[in-house]
Amino acid sequence: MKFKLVVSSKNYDPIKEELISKGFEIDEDADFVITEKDNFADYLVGKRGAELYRLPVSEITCVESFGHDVIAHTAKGDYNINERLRYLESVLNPRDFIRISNSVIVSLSGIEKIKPTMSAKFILTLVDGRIVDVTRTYYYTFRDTLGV
Amino acid sequence: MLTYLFAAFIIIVIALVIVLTYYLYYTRTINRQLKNRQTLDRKLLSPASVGIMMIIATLFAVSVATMVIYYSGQNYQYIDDQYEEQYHFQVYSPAEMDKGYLRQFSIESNEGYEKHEEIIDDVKFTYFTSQDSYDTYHPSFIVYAEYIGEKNVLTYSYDGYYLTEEYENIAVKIGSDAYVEDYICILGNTPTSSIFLLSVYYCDPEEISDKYNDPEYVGKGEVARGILEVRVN
Repeated sequence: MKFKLVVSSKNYDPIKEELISKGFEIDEDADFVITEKDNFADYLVGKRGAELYRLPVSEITCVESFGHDVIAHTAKGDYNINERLRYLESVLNPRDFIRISNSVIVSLSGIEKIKPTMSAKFILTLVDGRIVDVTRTYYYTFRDTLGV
Repeated sequence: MLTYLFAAFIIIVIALVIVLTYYLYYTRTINRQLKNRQTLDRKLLSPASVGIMMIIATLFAVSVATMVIYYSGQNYQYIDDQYEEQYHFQVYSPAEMDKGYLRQFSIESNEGYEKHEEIIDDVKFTYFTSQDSYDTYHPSFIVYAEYIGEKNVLTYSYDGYYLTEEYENIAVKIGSDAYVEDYICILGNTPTSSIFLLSVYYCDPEEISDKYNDPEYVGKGEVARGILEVRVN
């Protein structure tokens, strides 16, 4: 049986050894996930082609959902993520990542510029030049996160 | 009318400047917050909220300006308040004279009125005094005033006094800085024998006039002043 571990770096190796000793396999592509309470992910596992990559969250500018696909955008390129946005919203540190629409989670450090509009929306310019909108549904949450 | 439009325009421009300035301040603050990540002591209003507030404030200001301009020429000063309902007059433009019940009055003739004409200092007065006894439906007198001089007059002012036969004040009303049209028409009503003393001043703002050697008018461009005394029996 295969498990994916989403735990802190400190606890990763001990838990992995324990699971392996019990006959379980650790696989980043596994369907079953073990998570640590009150722990936020330091990295996400992204796929490009047949290759799996460990993506430090500090390098992720935003995560976008296109239909069935979830794409993490980084400076080094785009990667497919196996998890849904709702799950990512729970494992990414809310101090660093915020959901701005039904299909986008952005990294606050990845925002270059914010442009308010005369309606209840913001237009965000990310460091990689990408432009995304904060929709009305997430407008007040975004403002509260920024503290304005 | 031009004064009103100009005032409304200025109010709207001020409102737009305020909204734009706040929008720039809000954008700058929110981008600074992105870098600092410290919560502000007080939450900022969104530009949309400020825009809505300014729309309401502008509508209110324009309404107030409308009332001020409309009523600015309407103030009577009565010596005794008991006269408030009885002694009054109203000044009308040619366009206003062409509407409703005012259409019945004419500068040529009016049935039941005696016609008079006087020219005083480039102001021609054609006025009519009622031959009938006082009633509240028909004016006691009708006065048409026209500037017949050669200057380029732009505005006019007036004041009208109701006086007793002994020249004691009953009521006065003053209006100023209206734009000149072909004529003005004054309809007035008085229940007793009295004197209506009307002064009409025509001004050319380009002209520096000290014609009357009156400190109040020197330098204000007054080029004609017609003073008419109408005896109402």
